[in-house]
Amino acid sequence: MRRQLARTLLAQTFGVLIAASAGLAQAQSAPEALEWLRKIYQATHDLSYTGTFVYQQGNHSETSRITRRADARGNVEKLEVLDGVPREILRTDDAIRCYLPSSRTVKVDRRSDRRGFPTLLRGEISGLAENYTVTKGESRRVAGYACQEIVLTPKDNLRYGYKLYADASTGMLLKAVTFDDKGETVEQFTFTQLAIGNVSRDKVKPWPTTRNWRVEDTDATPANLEQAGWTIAADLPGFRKVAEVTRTLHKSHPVDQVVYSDGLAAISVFIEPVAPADKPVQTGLANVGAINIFTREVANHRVTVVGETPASSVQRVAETVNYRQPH
Amino acid sequence: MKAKISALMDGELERHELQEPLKLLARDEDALACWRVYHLIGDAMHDRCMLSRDFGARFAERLASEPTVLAPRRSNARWERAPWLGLSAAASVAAVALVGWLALAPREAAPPLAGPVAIAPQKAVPAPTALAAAKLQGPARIPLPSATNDYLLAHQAYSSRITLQGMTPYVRTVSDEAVGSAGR
Amino acid sequence: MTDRDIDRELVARAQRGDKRAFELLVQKYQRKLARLLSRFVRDPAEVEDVTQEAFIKAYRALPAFRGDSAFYTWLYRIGINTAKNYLMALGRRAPTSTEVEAEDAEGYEEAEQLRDINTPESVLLSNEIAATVNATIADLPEELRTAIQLREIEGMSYEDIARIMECPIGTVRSRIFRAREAIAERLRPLLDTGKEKRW
Repeated sequence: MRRQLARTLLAQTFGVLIAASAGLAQAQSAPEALEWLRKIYQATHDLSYTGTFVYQQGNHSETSRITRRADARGNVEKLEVLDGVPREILRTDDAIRCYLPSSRTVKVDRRSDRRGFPTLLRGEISGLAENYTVTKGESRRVAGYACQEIVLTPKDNLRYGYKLYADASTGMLLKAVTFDDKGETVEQFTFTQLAIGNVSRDKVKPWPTTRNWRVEDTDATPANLEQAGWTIAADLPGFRKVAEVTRTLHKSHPVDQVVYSDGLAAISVFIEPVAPADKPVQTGLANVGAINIFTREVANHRVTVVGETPASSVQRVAETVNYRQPH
Repeated sequence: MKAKISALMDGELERHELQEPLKLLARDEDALACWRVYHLIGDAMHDRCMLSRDFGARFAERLASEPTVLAPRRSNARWERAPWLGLSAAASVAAVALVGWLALAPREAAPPLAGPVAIAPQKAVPAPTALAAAKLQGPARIPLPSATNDYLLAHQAYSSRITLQGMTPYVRTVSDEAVGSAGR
Repeated sequence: MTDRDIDRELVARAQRGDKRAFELLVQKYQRKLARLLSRFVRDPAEVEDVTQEAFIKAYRALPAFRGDSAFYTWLYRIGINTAKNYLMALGRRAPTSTEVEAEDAEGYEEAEQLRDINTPESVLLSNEIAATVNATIADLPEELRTAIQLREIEGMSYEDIARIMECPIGTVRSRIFRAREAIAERLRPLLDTGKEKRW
């Protein structure tokens, strides 16, 4: 508690100094807002809960049930999509498993280190404040909880903005809205029902698989694309490389993947060879909600850039992917 | 003994229980056959490759004619201090470079994508910067790639979202159908 | 990921001169590696040669393995390099090369057509073996079936399985063993008769 207070004071002092020295009408991240971010991060990491939430994008909406069991020995999170074709994702500390009962397939993505798993906000909060201005908004009720609004306004147009609504007492995230540079909502997810607290083990049991289920393992391993002759030279301030792997995506050949992140939004670059038998690679942009996907061909390879960012960012990254035969 | 081999192969024996089954595996053909069959079961459940019957024997021959490797005795202190079952935790702390659900810490070793960090003048709601907009032509729109679900699943491990946009109706039918029809 | 711990132990022993320990690792990963390498090389005999070569290379490189990564991760990389070198030595290129030669194109095309199968048909696990394993599993009492599936397909530790099945760890251990023995019993006659030439 004392450390938090000290940090807050420090942040406040620092904030004041910056404001004073900058002398410009610049919006600064309010220190209490940053503290709220920390609280939200902590909550999504520590809490057990079951709830139903709705994801909305345009006219499309999808309802899912999520159950999380936080345990000293390891966390388990289960996501079941309730609309349409049943799908289930189970996340444990060491793997993500995606169950597709309709095709009796389990896709497995193992992690070789038991690090715990992603929540809505992770890593250094101060890092986020480099790329977003974080401020407190109003109070509002969501799913019966009194929530505090926290707004993350991007400092450039390479990323989206977010409005987060967190339970005042636990910090649990109840609603998140992604907005674009026009201030319009791109997508949102919101809990319609949430119970925080004890979750029994049987609530996070995986989908019972039987014989004939295909197991597709991604076999992801570290890679070095530069050594293979690839360069990605995009100038995207605030984004740093966080992963570089080779994995099995489509069963016939390995795909390289490089991931960049600004602490909140991530961009993945996928590079895979093209066979003459394939249809020619179509260059262009596709979109799934807040996710933009840009495809192009480089040196007989299909380059696919996937990002939770405005279209310009993924296009920019894609256009700077280059190949030179290594010596 | 077979029960011990079953637990051994899963890494679920205590350190002090290892000696016996390992010694047996070193000299007893039945024990070795048991290890082989139990692993064959796992391979069958995963639909793995089959190999010719004498693969093992051929390899054993090759291995026998290889000069025996002897690694210099390294201090295994780090490993030995950690409890047997917790070894993977100790190793994971060291394995920063590996694929994993990395804690996103922008201050770590990996350099930024390029160039100095540019901070545009701040407004409450940012307007698109004219420079960036002018540079890019409107891109061609194409339909979602058929592998979108796979890309999104691979991507979402590194993203921070609770929702999985990958599993949306737009692409679901395409990929599920493709998998379903070929899956018989 | 607890079977990584047994890998570590076996590697440590192999590094101290115990070849049998390395053989145990080979028995564990041979088919998994072969399936991976069959993406580069299609002929079953070639797949076996390259797989053996990869294991030998791994054995020779063992002193350099520090255990910072999982053994299979390390083996996987050696496997891929071995396969690529093999192809290059034959004047063929690996699928991830930027220039796809005409003769490779055909091979690569075949691989692409195998949409739902990781490996060429000819190297898939013998139908009878796989069928026997699956049929036995389907016939097992539910608690044995669940236990072996959680262990083999989900790769869960006994501890996790115990949590999910809500029983003591000792029970998990026993169930997995009994499942394995039940399947092994049905398999042994198949393997012994010599009718099966490949598994």
